[in-house]
Order: sequence, then structure tokens, then C-alpha cells
Amino acid sequence: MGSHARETIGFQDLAVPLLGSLYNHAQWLVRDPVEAEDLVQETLTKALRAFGSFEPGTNFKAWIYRILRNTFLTSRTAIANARTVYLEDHPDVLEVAEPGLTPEAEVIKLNDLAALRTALEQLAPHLREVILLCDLEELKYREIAAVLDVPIGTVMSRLARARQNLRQILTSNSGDSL
Amino acid sequence: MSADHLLQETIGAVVDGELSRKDEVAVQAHLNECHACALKVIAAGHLKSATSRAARSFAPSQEALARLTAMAQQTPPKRATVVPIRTVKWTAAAAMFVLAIAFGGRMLRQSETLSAEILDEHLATLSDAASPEVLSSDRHTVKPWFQGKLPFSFNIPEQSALPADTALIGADLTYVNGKPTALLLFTIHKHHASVFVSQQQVSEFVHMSGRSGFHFSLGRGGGLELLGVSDVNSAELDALVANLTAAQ
Repeated sequence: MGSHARETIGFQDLAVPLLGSLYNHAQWLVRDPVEAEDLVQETLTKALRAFGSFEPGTNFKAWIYRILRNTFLTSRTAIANARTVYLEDHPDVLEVAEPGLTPEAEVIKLNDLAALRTALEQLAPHLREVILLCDLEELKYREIAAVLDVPIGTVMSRLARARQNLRQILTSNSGDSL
Repeated sequence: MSADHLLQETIGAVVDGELSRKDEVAVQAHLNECHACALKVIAAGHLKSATSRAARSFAPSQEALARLTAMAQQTPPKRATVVPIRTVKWTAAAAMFVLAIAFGGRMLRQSETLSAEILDEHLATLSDAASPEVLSSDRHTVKPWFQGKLPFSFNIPEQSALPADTALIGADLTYVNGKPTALLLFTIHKHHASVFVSQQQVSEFVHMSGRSGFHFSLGRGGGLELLGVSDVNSAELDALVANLTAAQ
């Protein structure tokens, strides 16, 4: 696809349909509506500037999510989160050794989207990020690897860990509420 | 395939549609025979779709969406014009320069990525939400757990043979540079240390000088590479890695 085609399918044709998703992802990252809008605005500014380097035929969504993430990483919130992600204590989660829900019980629990949303909020940010990119944004493993700048093997192990932890948190929260 | 249950990564790949055609056939054959794994795949599918619904939580206000749309409708700036280099010599020199930068950049990038990956895996073990797959200080529990999960075997010394105030606390299967790797977890005094045991030469791509206050230590023995990472002082990390390397 040459420059003519690039002009035919313009930046706005690719970016506008993704604004809602970008905003949603941004708010999961920064946890504040005003900061989320700022983050998407800054992402759009950088993406517009760099659009000439976008390779037509590749996944625009993965490309702009990478810019969003890199923009986030330079933000004050990301630096604060980086400290919280790995070092903060979660003793209530630690007590759960095995994902205790049976598949049937899990289906019942999963119908409670509010509980699942709470569990997602409790998930470590780097695990939540990978599960959002996979399950919500439906990016392929190789695209997630490009967005996060990690090998595909890391994407796979993080996804497995994210899902395991999500089940553990759901189980823990379920026990708390009984 | 039918003798062992599917790994979590494989179950994930099934529901994510990421299996190769060859693996798909083998996994399907296993699922036809293994009720437990079939239930896990169904549960994983439910979790994936429920996560997708639950995660779509935030929407911009009408005003915010209007502002963002207006930004996205701007015209991208034109690309800078490239001035052609006229002489063949200059073209060749430029090509060599670009190759050198690209190759050097790729190596540096791979190095940075792998250092970050190793450290990331270590830090993830510190998160209380991430308990290891096998939680045991008994080498006779930890070592057999890896059977069938790794294409190699390795030795773990008895607790009494480890350096002073050092203890095995668990292990996990992980992937480094896309290859299956044993992750052994230790405590040295009150510090945590991770030792990655693999067949590959990861160390060539890791900044051994350390990163963000964490030290790396390397040992090679028995055709294996042992890469330790911890924030304990480097001498004690070296002692642990040397001890494990000697056991191979």
C-alpha cells in the first residue's frame, strides 16, 4: 500500500473507531477519567506525528496501543504504579493456595460482572494489562508482545498467571462475602 | 499428550485461538479423552468472555469524545523529504552505517528486553498475588514436579548443602526468551532470589552488571545455564549460584 492508499485510508478512519477502546484502556491504566483523557490526547498527538512510520497492512490497533502504553510509562502515574505493582503486600490473596472454584461454580460467579470487575481491579497492573489486551482488545500474542515489548513466551506466561490470579481473587472475594 | 494434563499456557492458547494446526490436532485428541482438561478449557472460555464483558467499564463523556474525535480528525504532518545520495561510494557507506546501527540497535534492544524480562519474572514472584506452582522447601518435591514439563533435568542440593541462611521456598515453570525454564525461588536472609535454569545461552543477552538495584549472577554446568537475580548483595547471590552450578 503506497502513500496514495495511506491518504485514502486516513488516520481518522483508523483512529476514530478506536477512541472508546483507547479511553477504556487508558482509564484502566491511570484509574482517573481526567488523566485518561489526557493520556489518549497525548497518544493521538504522538500517533499523528508518527503516522508516516506506520506500516500499512499491519495492525493499526496494536501500533497505537503501543504508543498509548509508552506514553503511559513516562507518566507520573506509571512510575507510582511500578512501585505498587510488585512490592505492595496483598496478604488476603496470599492465603489462597489453589484456585478453589469448580468450573460450575466459576460459571455462576462469572455471571456477576461486578465481582469480576472488582477482581480485575485487584489484579497486579502488569497482569491486568496483558489480560485486557488479549481478552478485551482481542490482540494476537505476537501483537501483545509488540505492544508490551516482551517476547511471546512472556505474554503466554503472564496470561496464564493473570488468569490463575483472577480465579484466586474471585475465590478469595467469594469466601469473604459468604 | 493424553498421559499428562494440558499446561495452563496451552489451555490459554486454546481459548485464545493461538494453537498451531499441528498442536490443535494433538490438543483436540487429548480433550476428547480427558474430561478434566475439557472442563478447564470450558471454564477458561467462560472466564475469557466474562473478562471481556467486565473489562469494558469506562466510556468517555460526550464532551470528551468530541474533543478526542476532533484531535483524531487532524491531518497528519507530511513526511520529511529524503534527499537522494548521488555517488555509489556514499550509498555504500550509508548502507554500511545503517546496517551497523540496525544490527547494534537490535542487539542492544534484545539485551535490554531480556534483562527486563528476567527482572520482571523475578519481581512477579515477589507479588503476594502470585504464589508459585510448587510451594515447597523439599528438593524431593520440587525436582519431580518438573518431570514432563522441561526438556532437561537438573539437580538441587540438599538444604544442608546450601549456603548459610539460604532456603529453597518453591519453584515455577516459566518462559524466558520463549523457551521453557525452571524458576527456583530461594530466600537469602530476608531477601528473595530467583534462579532461572535453562539450556539456552540467555546470559549473552543480559546486562550482567545489574539493573535497578538488582544483581545478576551466572553459572554454567552440566549443559545448563543458571542465572540468578536478587537484591541481596552480589557475593551471596554468587555463592548460591555457584553452589547450584556445582550440583549439576
